[in-house]
Amino acid sequence: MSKLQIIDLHVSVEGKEILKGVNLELNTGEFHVVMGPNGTGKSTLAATIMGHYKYQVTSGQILLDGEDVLSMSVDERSRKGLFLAMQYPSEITGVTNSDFIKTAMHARLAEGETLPLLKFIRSLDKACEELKMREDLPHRYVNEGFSGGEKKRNEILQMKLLKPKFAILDEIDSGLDVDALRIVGENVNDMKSENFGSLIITHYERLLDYIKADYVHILMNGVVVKSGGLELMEKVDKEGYDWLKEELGLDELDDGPNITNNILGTCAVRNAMDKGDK
Amino acid sequence: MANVVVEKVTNVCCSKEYFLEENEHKTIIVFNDGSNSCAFNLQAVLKKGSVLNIYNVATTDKTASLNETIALEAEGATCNVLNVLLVGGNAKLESNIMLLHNCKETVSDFANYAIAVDEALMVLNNNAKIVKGASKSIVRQKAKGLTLSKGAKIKAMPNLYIDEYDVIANHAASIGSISKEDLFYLMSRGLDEKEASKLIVLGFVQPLLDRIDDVELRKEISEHFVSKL
Ligand SMILES: Nc1ncnc2c1ncn2[C@@H]1O[C@H](COP(=O)(O)OP(=O)(O)OP(=O)(O)O)[C@@H](O)[C@H]1O
Ligand SMILES: [Mg+2]
Repeated sequence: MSKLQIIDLHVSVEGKEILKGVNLELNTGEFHVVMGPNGTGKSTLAATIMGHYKYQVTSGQILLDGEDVLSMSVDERSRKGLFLAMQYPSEITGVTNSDFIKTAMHARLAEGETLPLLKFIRSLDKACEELKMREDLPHRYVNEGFSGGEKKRNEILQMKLLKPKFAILDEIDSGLDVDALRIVGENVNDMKSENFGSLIITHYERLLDYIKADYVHILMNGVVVKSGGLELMEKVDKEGYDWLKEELGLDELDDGPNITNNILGTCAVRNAMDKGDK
Repeated sequence: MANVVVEKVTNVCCSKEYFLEENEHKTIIVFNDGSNSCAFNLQAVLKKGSVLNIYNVATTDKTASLNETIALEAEGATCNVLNVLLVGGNAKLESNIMLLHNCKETVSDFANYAIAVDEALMVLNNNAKIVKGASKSIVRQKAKGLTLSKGAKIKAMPNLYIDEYDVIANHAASIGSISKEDLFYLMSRGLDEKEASKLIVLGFVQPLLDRIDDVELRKEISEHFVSKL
């Protein structure tokens, strides 16, 4: 069993604080859903866990089985068992999907261990079949010219083959047609085991028809404001987020004064400098 | 159909002429493996319905130039130029290509994949000229460049001289270092930075390798690129 802990995490993008003290704890064998209005920091949380260069952690901790994740490079995090299925995966010209996956699988072998080609091809074929992917996709360049839904399926294909401990799925359901949603959902659900857990970011209850989630967390204004079971998701699906904002006394404009302060701050500095010049 | 000529550029100066008959198809692979500093000159004339593919390949850290003029003289003449060039050291690699559309319904497609490392400079002078009367002609130009160090530079200068209204002409250029987002994507799957960069750069060369049927030559070219990275 493994444990992923996010402790009082504060994250900024280009000087703007997006996450303001997030706390979450996941164990393998558990599926956690994170929901929240647009722009509240869900993708920020996902990308920060994986170590994306754009996000600066200003304070807090991320621990994987007690090990400090924040001091690890992106590739090290992956090899330790973290996986991020991205909202907008990159296209890599000239690199075939199967070569890419093979290289990634090689990267996580222990020294002296080998991956026989035949074994690799069999597991790739099997995973493609389970995801009902078009047969040519493994041989095409990574994500190049893939449809939106094909890209999402390709993320899950990689997840299946790389077998992470924790997969963070950022809106894996967006852009999927009803059949693809079922296929992707079932494939994720089938991964659940004492060696696999997931953090699932979604806006819709529909995905949870296929993925059996255990916990639901609501992220608003950069903090987890409420955690609970599936009943929380149902309530959001029916009523939206307004009731929560009221309950918590949150105001959409709660950033307002901060922004004004920043502007004042800059002007004040500039004034001071101007004076200094003269 | 499988009419392939390989021009290994090893001399200091080398000039070649090609004349394509009606409906002739030919592929010329020009390969500068960096063993010499050299200027390669090529002139080609294309007759009706002929198709010429030119693949210019260079992996060099010696100053060199490619100078090619291709004249599309009759209807249906088509020329596809694919430049895959790598320059390193303190060298300057210059590519001067001119595609002359001298007749209506002629087609040219010109793609550049340029890689500069160390302190090297690459200059791409990509020229196409459509004369008056060469209606329904098509010109496409594309330049993609990767600079792999701070001191490396790539200058792409697309020049389209068009003296006719009824044509299709487009060009696109993107030059820069390896995309951080792409790097993040590959690293998030466990590849370290060096491995990920190498995969991206070799991916850049792959569309060329996909087009070379000769297994030996493909291997040789691929090894030359790998050794320079
Ligand atoms: N480079 C940036 N510069 C400034 N602000 C940024 C930058 N990147 C993200 N943000 C801001 O960070 C906030 C959180 O964005 P994030 O993508 O994490 O939201 P999200 O919860 O995933 O939203 P969605 O549901 O729309 O996917 C947004 O207000 C966004 O505008
Ligand atoms: Mg998002």
